[in-house]
Parts: sequence; structure tokens; C-alpha cells
Amino acid sequence: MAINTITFLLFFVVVFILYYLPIRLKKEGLWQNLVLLVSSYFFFGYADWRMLPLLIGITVAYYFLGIAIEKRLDTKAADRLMALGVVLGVGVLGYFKYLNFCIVSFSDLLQAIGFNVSLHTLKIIMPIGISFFIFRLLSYSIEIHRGMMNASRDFVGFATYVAFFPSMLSGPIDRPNIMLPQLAKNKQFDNALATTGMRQILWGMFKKMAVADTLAVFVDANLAADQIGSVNSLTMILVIFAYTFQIYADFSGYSDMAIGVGKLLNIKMATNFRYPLFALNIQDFWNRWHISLTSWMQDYVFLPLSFMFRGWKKWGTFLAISINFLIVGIWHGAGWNYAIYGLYHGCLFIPLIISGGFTSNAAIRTNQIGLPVLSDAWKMLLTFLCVSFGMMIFRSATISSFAEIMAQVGASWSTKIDFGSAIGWLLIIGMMVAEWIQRKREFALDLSGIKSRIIRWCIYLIVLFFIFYLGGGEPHFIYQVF
Amino acid sequence: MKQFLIKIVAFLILLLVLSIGLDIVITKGLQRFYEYDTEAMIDLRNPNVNPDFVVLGSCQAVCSYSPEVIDSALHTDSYIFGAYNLTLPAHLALWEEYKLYHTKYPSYVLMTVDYSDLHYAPLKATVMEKQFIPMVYDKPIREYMLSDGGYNALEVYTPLYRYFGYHQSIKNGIMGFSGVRTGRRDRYKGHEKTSIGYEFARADLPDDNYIVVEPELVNCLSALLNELQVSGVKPILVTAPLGYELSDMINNAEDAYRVYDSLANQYGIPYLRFHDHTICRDTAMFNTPAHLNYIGAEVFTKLLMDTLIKLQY
Repeated sequence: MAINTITFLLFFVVVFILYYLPIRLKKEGLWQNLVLLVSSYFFFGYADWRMLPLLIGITVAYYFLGIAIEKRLDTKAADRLMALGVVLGVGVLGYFKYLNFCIVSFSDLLQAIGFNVSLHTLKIIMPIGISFFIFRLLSYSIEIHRGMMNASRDFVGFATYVAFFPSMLSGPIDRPNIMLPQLAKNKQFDNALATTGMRQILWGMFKKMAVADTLAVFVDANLAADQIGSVNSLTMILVIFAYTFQIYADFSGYSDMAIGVGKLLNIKMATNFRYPLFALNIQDFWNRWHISLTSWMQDYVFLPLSFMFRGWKKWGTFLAISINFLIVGIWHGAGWNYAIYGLYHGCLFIPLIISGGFTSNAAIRTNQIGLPVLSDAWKMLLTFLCVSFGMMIFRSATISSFAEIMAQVGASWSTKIDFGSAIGWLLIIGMMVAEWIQRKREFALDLSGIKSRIIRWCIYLIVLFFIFYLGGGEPHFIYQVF
Repeated sequence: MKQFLIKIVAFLILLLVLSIGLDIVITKGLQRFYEYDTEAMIDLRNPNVNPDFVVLGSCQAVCSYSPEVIDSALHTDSYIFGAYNLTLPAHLALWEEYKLYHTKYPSYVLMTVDYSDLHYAPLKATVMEKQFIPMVYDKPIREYMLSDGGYNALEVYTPLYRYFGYHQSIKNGIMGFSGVRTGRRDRYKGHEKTSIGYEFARADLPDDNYIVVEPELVNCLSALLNELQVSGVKPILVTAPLGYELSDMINNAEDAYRVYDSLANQYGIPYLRFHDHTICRDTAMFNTPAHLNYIGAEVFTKLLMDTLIKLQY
């Protein structure tokens, strides 16, 4: 059930009505959590009911694990239990997401060294959102072990946190110490927050349905297996750029919709994107792109590794970053292209580490007319080029298809460029201009600064018209498959 | 929450009003925009187009009948109100639609059918569903879209929803309404002159070697023939030439042809079989195994007219 469909709208209207019914049960927040939990399980089961026992089972396991860790805090038993939690989570994720890939890769390796083996892959159905809810559970057990939070004694609230439907499909990966306290209280309807939520949903829909889906037509047509060979160099470069905008609009669009839905329920979720295409360097990019994943990785992978390798100075930092981004890469999917994507981004940090600019916070400087100063504009362009190149590794199903795409970049420098649909590029410009102007706000359609309701409504109607005119394709989110 | 809901409702009302307005603009605009099959649909609803000899059918009607030959042979004014992938319920709906806009009916209506017409497929499942959308304001088309057309109530009754995803139609509708562009006529009296150059692969080939004769479609054709006779029109049933490669693929096509024979006897109308004529073995007459090219259309129509004249129907 994609979030931008009529089915979801009908589903959410029912949830919204039930959620705000003035029913107060003995425990604070219980009624609202029950509504959210049942609707989240319905949402999850709608995709594949067979995976529901897995979600419920693993939620129960971590619930009791959290309590057990807390009871044995600062003892070796707590360490073992936390390790069990990590093994359980990683194991479940590994089984559903990576087992077949490992089997195939192992088989290929054996054949490469001369052993003729026939290994069969298993028919494994990957549960939706598995990467997201496993990471929530891991975060929960680790935070308890670190003494940063108490284990939840409210199973309904905890289960709701794990299965929270707005962020089930594509995140954000919310932290338990942010979400659980919100779920523990009765939430009153917040007019201002809900209005902001509606605007954010609208902006998300525009990015996904108008921008991303329009660009997808151009990108898919030129990157189809039987078409790549006929695409000239300049067109291929445009395709690469277009894909970067497409994936940004698709993923951030979904995040905006998910966060907007959360706001309608008076639940504040983590910001997941902060205008990453304006990043000044690769570190700045990862501070702005898929923030919930980056911060998760920083807290639970990078910082511990940095500490472990602290004796190796810059080499230690580089090693920690490389492992960090290798995991980021393979988190996305079971494929060597994802691993290479991660390592590629790790390597992009080398200049920053060497120059010592790794720990400094980048801030965009603007000139008198509000545009970035030339040096910052140049940095943004360079970062964009590096990121776009990496996105091609990400998109390519195999290494050989990536090589084919790159070969086309240098193959035929004909001046006949296929721009695809002009409206796609106009949308990119429109989206980027809006985001630049609004870069200090949470999202571009945050019109709380415009006092005139007529102007605001006109803007909403224009955005809706673009969604209507350009939308209508089969709803599918790129990050849904992770 | 009350304030929030009031704002939402007010905005939705505004949106609904604007949607209805835009829906009218796009629909009316498409009714004036000539593109592909819409040409025939626009002329069907034009009270100034009053042919005396009408051909109804799907792609075979569009490709295989030459109005110039019909007009010359019968000294009449003909028109082909056909469109690709139309089904029998669609033809019935189109006849009802024709009656809405005309007080004078044609003397003859030739219904071109083939082995696949009695095999059910909702219009929406086929390629050309959007040709009916601009006529959605008319009751016969609306009823057809909801019953056999494969549309649901949301798509038929919600303003703008039916255009969601059809970028080109939205654009054409707005341009047609504003008069900026009204498309281009590609056909003459509904006839598409397909090019010479036979290609088997272009054919819309059946999924398997058997067709299923659906009783409800037989009833639909019967109802259409009855409707025509009640309206004072003389119906004619014709199976146009099919390339022999296609005919040879279907094992039980005769099941359909027997039905047409039976209906023709029931209503006392001619049923003219050309699907196994010698012309079917000449690929130079065809564009695909299912469609005659423009030369084949002229040759076949001449043969058909000679047969009709001899019948003195």
C-alpha cells in the first residue's frame, strides 16, 4: 500500500478518526497506540500477511531482551544479551536479504577457481521494511545496553515504535529515545503541526509523483539494457544527472510524506533530508542525505570503530569510514554494486581526511543577491558530480552494466543530445530553486512565512496541478525495496 | 481540530469546483481534438454528419473498408464509425450515442465482425480505452464504461480522476478547448489507409489457438441487430478478409462464424463471408494478417459492393 494512493488515503482517514477519538484507557496513550499498532500490522500484512508472525515474533523477542539487558546492566550477562540482540537482528536481516546473494556469490567463486558446483538458492520472500525495523530494534537494544534509556515496559507502545506504518516502507529510522516518550503520552491534535504536515505531504507528493516519476521515464528509457549502446556521451551524462535528481526526489518525497503523516498524528519523526544536493563536500552530503541512516551508522558503527582504530590516526579514520560506508552500501541491497557504492563513498572522504577538513562543519556562504559565492558553488558542483557518479554504481544491477554505462559516457561525442521531456528539466529547476529559497526551512513548501491565505492556496493548487498533470504512474518507491 | 477540518473542507470544496471546471475544459477540448480514433467519435456526435451507409466495427472497420468505393458503387454517403479494439458492447453503446445526436438514421449499417468479437475483453484492458473518456458526459457511454468498459464509479464520476496519468490527453484537451490546436485529421470518413508492406509480427496475435464464444456477447450482437431494425435501419453482417496465416492459427474460428450465420437467419439479414475468400491468400493485400492495406481495402470493398448490389437488399 503506497503512501500516495487512494487506498492509503482511505486507510489513513479511518486511522485518523479512531486515533483522535476521546477514548482514555487506564494507561496513558494506550488507545492511540492500539490504533497505531493494529493499523501498522494491517499495513504490514497488506503487503504480505505471511511475514506478520516474523514482525510480531521479533518484536516480542526484543521487548523481553531489552528488559533482560536492563536488569543485568553493567555485567557480562548484559554484554552477552546485547550481542545476542545484534546477532539476532543481523541474522534475520542476513537471512532474508543476503542469503541467496551469498549462495550465488559462493557458487561463482567456486566455479571461478575450477570447482563445478550447483548450489540452489532458496525461495525467500523479503518482508517489506525489514532493513528499517531491524535497525530500530538494534538501536533499541544498544541504547539500553549503553544506559542511555530504560527498557520499555509498555509492549503496545514498543511494538508501535517498531512497526510504525508511516515509516515502515522507506524510513526514517527513528530512534527509540525520541519515539517511545512520544508514544507514552496521549496526543492532542495540534493544528499548526497538522497544517505543516499537510504541506509536507503535498511537497512529498510533488517530488515523487511529478518530479521523480517524470524523470524516471527519461532515465529508464536510456538505461534499458537494449538501449544503452545507442545513447551518445552527452545524453548519457544528462541521464546520470537526471537519475540523481530522480532518486533524491523519490526518496526525499517519500520521507516528506511519511513525516507529514506523522505530524498529522502529532508524532514528530526524524528529519531525513536537509537539501543534500546543496552539499559542499561529501561529509556535508552525508549529513544531509538519509540522515536517519547516517546518524545511526555514525553512532553504532563509525564512532566505535574510530575509537577502536584511534591509534592509527588518519589511517584509522579512513578505515572506520570505509567499513562504515561498506555497511551503508550493502544495507541497501544484496549486490556487489552496493558494496562498491559504499566503498566509493568511503574513498571520497580521503581528501577531507588528509586535508584535516573532516571534522569541520560546512556552511554555505551567499553573496548579496542570495546566490552561493563562486567557491561554494564550485564545491557544490563538484560534490554533485561525485555523488552522481556514485548513483550510477547504485543503479546498475551489475558491475558490467555500470561499466557499459561509463563506456557510453566516453563513446560517442555527437552534438545531438536527447534531453527527454523539457518539462522534466523545468521541474528540476523549479524544485531546486524552491529548495534553495527555502533552504533554512524544514522543507520547501513550508509556507508558514506567507501570511496571505489566498497566495498559499494558489501555490497549493499549482503544485496539485503538476501532480495531476504528471502523476498517474504505478506507485513505486525506489527505497521500498530496501 | 475543528479549525483544521474547516480549512480542509473549504480547500476541498474549492478544489472540487476547480476540478469540475478543468474536467469540462479537458473533456470539451478533447471532443474537438482530432487524434487517431477520436476523429470518428467526434464525427459520430456531429449532427451535421448524416451518412446513409455506416460501417461499425473495430480495427477491421477502420482499415478494410474504403468509403470512396462505397460512395461510388452505391451512390451514397458513407462513414466508418470504427475504432481500434472496440468490443460488441461498445458498438451498441456507440449506436445509442449516435441516436442521441441524430434524428435521421442511416439506411444501412454494416457490422464488421471476426472470430475474436465474441471473445470477451473489457475496453479498459485493451490499448485504446481513452477514446471513450471524452464522451463520458453522455449516458450511453457512461453506462457502457461502468458495465462492460471496465471502469469503476470513481473513474467515471470523479472529475479529473479519469484523466490522471494521461498527460497527452490533458494537454490535447486544454489545447482543443482554447483553440490553440485541434489535432489533425488522418482519416477520410473514418478510414485509415494503412500502408503497403506486410509484416506478420505486427499482428495482434491471439494468446492461444482457441476462442471462447461468450453467450453475453452473442446476446449483445443480437440486441444491436434488433436495435438497428427497430430504428428502421437495414443491418448487414460481414466478416472481412483475414490473412491466411492468422486464420490457420485459430482452430475453432468456425464456432464464431456459425453464430453470425444463425443471427443473420434469425433477423433475415445478409451475412457475407470474406474471411476465407481467395484474397486472404494474397499477402500483398495486407498490412498485417488482421488488416488489409489501402489497396486491399479498395479491392475488398469493390467485391463487397458487387455482392451487395447483386443481393438487391
